[in-house]
Amino acid sequence: MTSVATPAKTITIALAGNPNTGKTTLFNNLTGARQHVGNYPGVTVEKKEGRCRHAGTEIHVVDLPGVYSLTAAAVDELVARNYLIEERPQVVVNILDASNLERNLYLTLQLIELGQPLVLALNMSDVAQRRGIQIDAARLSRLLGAPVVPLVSTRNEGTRALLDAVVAVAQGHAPPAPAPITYGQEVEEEIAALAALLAQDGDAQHGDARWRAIKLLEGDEAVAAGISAPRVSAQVDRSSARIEEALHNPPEIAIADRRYRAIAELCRDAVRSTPEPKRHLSDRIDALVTHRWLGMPLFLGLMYLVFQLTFTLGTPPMDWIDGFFGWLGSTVTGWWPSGSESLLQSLLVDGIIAGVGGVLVFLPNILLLFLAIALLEDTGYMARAAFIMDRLMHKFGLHGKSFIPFIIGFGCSVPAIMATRTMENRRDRLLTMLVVPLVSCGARLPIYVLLIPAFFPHALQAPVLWSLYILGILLAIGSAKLMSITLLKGETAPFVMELPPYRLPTVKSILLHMWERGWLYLRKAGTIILGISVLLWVLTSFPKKTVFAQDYPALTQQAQQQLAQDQEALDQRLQELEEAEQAETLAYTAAGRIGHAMEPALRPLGFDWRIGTALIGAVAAKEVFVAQLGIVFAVGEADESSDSLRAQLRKQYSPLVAYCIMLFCLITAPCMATVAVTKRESNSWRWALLQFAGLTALAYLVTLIVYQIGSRLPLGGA
Amino acid sequence: MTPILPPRSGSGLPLLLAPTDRPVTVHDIRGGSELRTRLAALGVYPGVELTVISASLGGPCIIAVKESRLALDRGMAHRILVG
Repeated sequence: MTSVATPAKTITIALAGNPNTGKTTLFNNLTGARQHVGNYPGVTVEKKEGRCRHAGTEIHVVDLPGVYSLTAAAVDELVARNYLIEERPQVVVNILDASNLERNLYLTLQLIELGQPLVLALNMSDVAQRRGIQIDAARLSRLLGAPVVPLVSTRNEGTRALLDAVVAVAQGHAPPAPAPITYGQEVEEEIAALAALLAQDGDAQHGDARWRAIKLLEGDEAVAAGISAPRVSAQVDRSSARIEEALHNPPEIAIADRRYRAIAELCRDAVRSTPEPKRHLSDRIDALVTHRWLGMPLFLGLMYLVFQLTFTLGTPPMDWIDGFFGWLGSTVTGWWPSGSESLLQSLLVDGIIAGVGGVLVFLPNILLLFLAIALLEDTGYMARAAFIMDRLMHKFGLHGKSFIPFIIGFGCSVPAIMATRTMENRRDRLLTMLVVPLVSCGARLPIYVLLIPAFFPHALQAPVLWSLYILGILLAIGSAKLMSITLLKGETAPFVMELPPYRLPTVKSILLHMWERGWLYLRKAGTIILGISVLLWVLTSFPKKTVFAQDYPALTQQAQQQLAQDQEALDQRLQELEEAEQAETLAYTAAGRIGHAMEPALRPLGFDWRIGTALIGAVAAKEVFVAQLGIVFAVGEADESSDSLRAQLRKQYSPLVAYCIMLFCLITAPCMATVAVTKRESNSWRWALLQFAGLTALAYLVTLIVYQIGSRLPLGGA
Repeated sequence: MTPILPPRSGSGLPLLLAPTDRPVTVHDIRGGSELRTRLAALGVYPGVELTVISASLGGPCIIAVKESRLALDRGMAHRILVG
């Protein structure tokens, strides 16, 4: 190494740390808007990357998933570990919660064991100080052989100092490495024996021999899977037995014990904490929020509030967007003089503006819902909700942690299915994943918001909406129960989950959280939905009918002559003729033909072929249902868009049919994105297809029952 | 700090039955090595002291261990033996 350090041009650093340590906030502080969200190869664990510049160095920042440890038991931990071992970032920034140092250092010791250049970021130093915890950063740094930088990420304090340390370590200015942690004579002997065997076999993949020996003793399945030599596995068994005999404890406990002992020693040297009351404000809030009797009503009240806010606050901006697209449509229509309407005009107005506009109108609702979810997550309430729901969820073969995907599922099924990865047990994960699409997602909301005001009096609107959401949840837990006693028998994994202290979230992090998810929705509207809208427009426009069963212009003229005196009768007749012509035109198109082919199967549900065509679109993305209805009712109408879509629907269908449409859309086949993510997360087409077919069958069955019973009741109105 | 790791006793009261608001020591964890390493990473391992801060009868409970708060379900609280 040369004495004058030449600054590296680009370095890669990884952020590692426990969940709830402010890692994401730090990542945002470091990279600002220069972020990219992707996936780790082969798994759907989100991979966040970003860039920043500091002291002439371009820094590529990778945000690893939040983990407590580096075992192979959970996907997240394995991903973080593999990234560190395989990609070897120049510096690993370990972010620690200074107010919970002992537990956080458990991961640090494992990072040190991996032997990678480390910088420790002591986050929440302010909270620690308030609690009377004083950490001697310099001493801690000496003891751990890594720079220690105090940080308050919520106020963006200490970020520059952290980057200084990162650049210095990348240039080779790291404090001397500490003596490695030792596990006591009994364990060390076995580690040595195993490491010697591993070194002889000579395959150096996945870390060095000592590290692998420790992992094998801990019972690490991923490392064990990479061992082919039978004599190594035999040695693992022998060593484990000897440790068990000498220490009366299994090796993984002996190892964990030694780590915590080393940590306790470290903290004695470097941490001074004044005695303070054991109960924090957070505990007092928890006494209320997780109370045996009060917890549940409080939870339900909060959920009600979330939905109430989503809809009441969302209405005005929705009207603005709706008004904008209405204006845009008529402006674009105005470009063509009356009578010279062309295909291009129809494509722009009926296809693109009606399709994409119909979906974008719901952006305010989606953003508000994600805002509420971000608030619940960032304050720490979400973990409590899982705790409160655990008992109930257990009764249905589910897991307390299933509840978080359920709540996220109100926004979108795709991130909800991805959120199931916090569940360690594959059976619990699969079960949750398969039923999550029954939780009514944001994309189904446009369908309800279109139909409910069209068919139900004001007083009934909220209850109808609620009935759909509740029904979705009931069906989800019902199907989960059914599967847990048939296809997916077994025990739910025991539940343990950290309850992070309640925190006042920062406006920035909440908005960022909301925006990240809202952006996905916008991008979908701009790409998939735009594409499908154009495709559906083509299907509903071609082939063009030229020869009609009746001569409409002649009939119109005839009516105008015969009914010249009776304006009302004339209007009615003209309307009938127009609708008949429109229906004939549509029926001739590709979409009309597909819809008609489907009609025999749909009629028992009260649906006609028009709904059939819209349902095809909904398979690609649920929002498309609304877009497609818009197109179906707009095409063939050419110039006269006096009737709003709602009014046209009201003319065509009864409230019962409208409810059945919503019911069917609630339950039926999840959208393409959901099928794809289920396939990836369950790693099998079998489960994804089962989900698809099962939900479609369930939708048909439930809608059939509701329609058949409903249409026989006097109040059905069919 | 105890000089040596207490031997695995297999005895003790399930956490489910432990009194609230009084520190207890973990004696043993019933379960496979995977469960034990997972709990250890969260700070729960034989020899550690913890306090049950809220428990509903026969249901899930919240414990304080080191500076963290953990929620455990009935099944988990059954597997942790304390004294």
